[in-house]
Amino acid sequence: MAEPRSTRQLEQDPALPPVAAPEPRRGWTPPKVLLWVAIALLGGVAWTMLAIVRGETVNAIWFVFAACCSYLIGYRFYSKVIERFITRPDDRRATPAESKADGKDYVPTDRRVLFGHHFAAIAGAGPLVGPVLAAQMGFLPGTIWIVVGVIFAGAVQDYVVLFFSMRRGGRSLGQMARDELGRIGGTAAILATLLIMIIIVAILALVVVNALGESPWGVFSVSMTIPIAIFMGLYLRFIRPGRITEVSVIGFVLLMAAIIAGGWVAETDWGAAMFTLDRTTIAWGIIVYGFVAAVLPVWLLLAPRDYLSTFMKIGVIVMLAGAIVVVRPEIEVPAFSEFAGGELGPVFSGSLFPFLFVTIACGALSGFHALIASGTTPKLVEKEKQTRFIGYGGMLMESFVAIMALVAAISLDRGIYFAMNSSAAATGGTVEGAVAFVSSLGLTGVEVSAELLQTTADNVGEESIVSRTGGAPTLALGLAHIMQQLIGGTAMMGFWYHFAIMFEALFILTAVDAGTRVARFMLQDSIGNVAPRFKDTGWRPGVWITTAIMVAGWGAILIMGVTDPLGGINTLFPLFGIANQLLAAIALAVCLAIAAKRGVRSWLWVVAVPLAFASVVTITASMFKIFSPVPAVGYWANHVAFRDALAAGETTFGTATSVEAMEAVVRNTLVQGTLSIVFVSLAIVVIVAALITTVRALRGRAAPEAEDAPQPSRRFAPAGLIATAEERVIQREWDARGPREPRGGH
Amino acid sequence: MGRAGSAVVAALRRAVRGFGAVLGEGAYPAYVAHHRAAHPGVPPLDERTFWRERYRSQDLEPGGRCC
Repeated sequence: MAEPRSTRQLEQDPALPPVAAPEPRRGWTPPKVLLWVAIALLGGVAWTMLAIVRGETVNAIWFVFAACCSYLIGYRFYSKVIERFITRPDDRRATPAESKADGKDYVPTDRRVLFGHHFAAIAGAGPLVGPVLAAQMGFLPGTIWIVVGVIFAGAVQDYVVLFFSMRRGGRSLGQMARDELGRIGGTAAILATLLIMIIIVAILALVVVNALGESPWGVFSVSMTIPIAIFMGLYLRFIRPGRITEVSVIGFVLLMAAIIAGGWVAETDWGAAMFTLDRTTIAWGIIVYGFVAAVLPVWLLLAPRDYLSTFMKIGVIVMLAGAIVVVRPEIEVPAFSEFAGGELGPVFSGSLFPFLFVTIACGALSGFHALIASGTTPKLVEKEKQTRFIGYGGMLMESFVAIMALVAAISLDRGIYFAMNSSAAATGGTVEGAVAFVSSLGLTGVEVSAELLQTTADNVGEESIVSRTGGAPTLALGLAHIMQQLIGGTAMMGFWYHFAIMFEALFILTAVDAGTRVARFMLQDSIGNVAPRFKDTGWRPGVWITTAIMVAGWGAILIMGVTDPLGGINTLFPLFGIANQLLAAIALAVCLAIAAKRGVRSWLWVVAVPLAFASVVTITASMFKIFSPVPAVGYWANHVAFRDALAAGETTFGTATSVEAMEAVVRNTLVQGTLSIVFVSLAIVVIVAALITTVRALRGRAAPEAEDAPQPSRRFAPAGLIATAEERVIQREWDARGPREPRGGH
Repeated sequence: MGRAGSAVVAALRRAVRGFGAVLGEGAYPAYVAHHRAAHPGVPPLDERTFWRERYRSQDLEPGGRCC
């Protein structure tokens, strides 16, 4: 491919050592070949154990090997293909962090530190919840989608969005859509993003509500995170500004104390009376909290809780990975369960295709990441070539988190799994009901006794574990189950369970707060086009009004989910996945248009294939949700069924036991069905706009891409985690020059 | 102990510092270094004021956190 004209200006300053390393000599030395053959063999053996051998049980360690070996191969080979043919980074070119350096927003940051930053920003509760629900279909479909999906779709999206945004000074996805696709495509992309944020925040909040309902221990310890975070905020502001590690350690110790204290408080009469709250009350609590947290200054609550959440995130993930490798639980879940072939599983409804692919969104392909990859991260990248390590590598890491969540969920007894994850409408919320329901599923070898359910609940310090839907309690139980084999035995299970609930709640509350803020900011910007006053983000009434609108949006969906007679999470979670994947399709569509404008031709499929897959999955899933005649699957089919029943004068129908409940179903399905139609229409507008732009670019008739003008770089840093021999030579030359240019991080 | 011990201590110290950097602790030193290079002669903000400004700008333009 011809070198673009603009790069001719990138003459390097002859007084400086090289700013870009030469391509490593293409030496496939025997040890290197041997290493990659070994990785490929180990991965192959692991996949064979999972997919073909399938004895009575399979050891969890094979999941770790299959995933890690596949990631290594994907990173070493496939991401290199993307680098060579799609992104084509040029280290002679200054990144925005270098050319616009201001010491605040644009700061060249050490690649390893930025990797940590970026990972902490993309990984949240999503990859922990989706795989748990998807375990209903057996372990294999989920595992394949998480690993293959990330290599060919999720990590590609994150990497390419990060790179293109970096070439545009860190512009957001919405702005890139407007610049590259024109007004209609751009506006649809921004509107879709806004709506998708609302649904994602609502459903994450629903997960927390489900985890905390009727759990005095959980409510107490999670509520304590608020005073702890405020204390940390005050400490950082007035006592020791900037001592973030120090205050995080203090916060962590307080957090552990809150978990232990929660066990005592829940035992007392006053504690149980005060903190046993029903789910509707908790939902209102989160709505009020969400509004207050989003209008409070960042330093008081959001920033300190974010430090705590990052601290926990990295700690717990390392701990869980270690525990799985050491404990190596035996998995009894079949590769494909009895529900893989149908569409009426109790955990989520819908057939494997397309619903497995939307149930596991984060971990395989998450559109939300495109907002992060076009936010803070591109403004901090030190050298262009590092985007592969940060964007592609960061997403592989998140995928690994999803695999661990899956392993934790499938290491549980299947009877317990279905008792926990079937809606209260099915189990009646009682132990006896759950026992009867699980045996009515007719799964071979799957039975659960009332005793087992009660003992397990007692072990984790909960009143009951029946119908604790939403994924978080199941993951917490799985984590407790694995960790207690390592530390503490059953006596510690309550602690580990609530430790996991706490850590998921921390992520989600941070996401609720930050999501509300970002959505409010986008809304301010949009309203600002009509009423310019709203563009002033320092104008408090504007902040309050737009925050209230956003909170009302997700709050309404949250209340709807909590009070839904059909069970809430199993009807709403697909909407979450569809929304997230539609955002991914939008992001990939924008990237396709940009790649075509950059002159990519025969390798365009690298972006086009995941785009096509995401589009087919989400549009099909939306069509099922809109048009399926099966009431459990189609929102409108359900809507019509309940409306007709009401019209016929019936007072109970399906799982709804009163006229009010039936009216609630009619109302909820109307909202859900309408949202499905709006989402899919907006996404189709963006995809079509991007395809038109792409075709015009292929015919050489599109406007040129809106990349910033190149400026020569005057600094050097290695591209990957480990510096190559060539890079080390250059690095030594730079080090010999004395103090380096300022850099964030170390 | 001796040399191996001090190597372990050094590695631990690096790990703690790296962890702090991921949490964002390096922002102030990075700002001071940038300020010294870009605006020599002008004194940089003190640490307390720097963090106040930083959180204020996050209030005005929020950054995302993912699901």
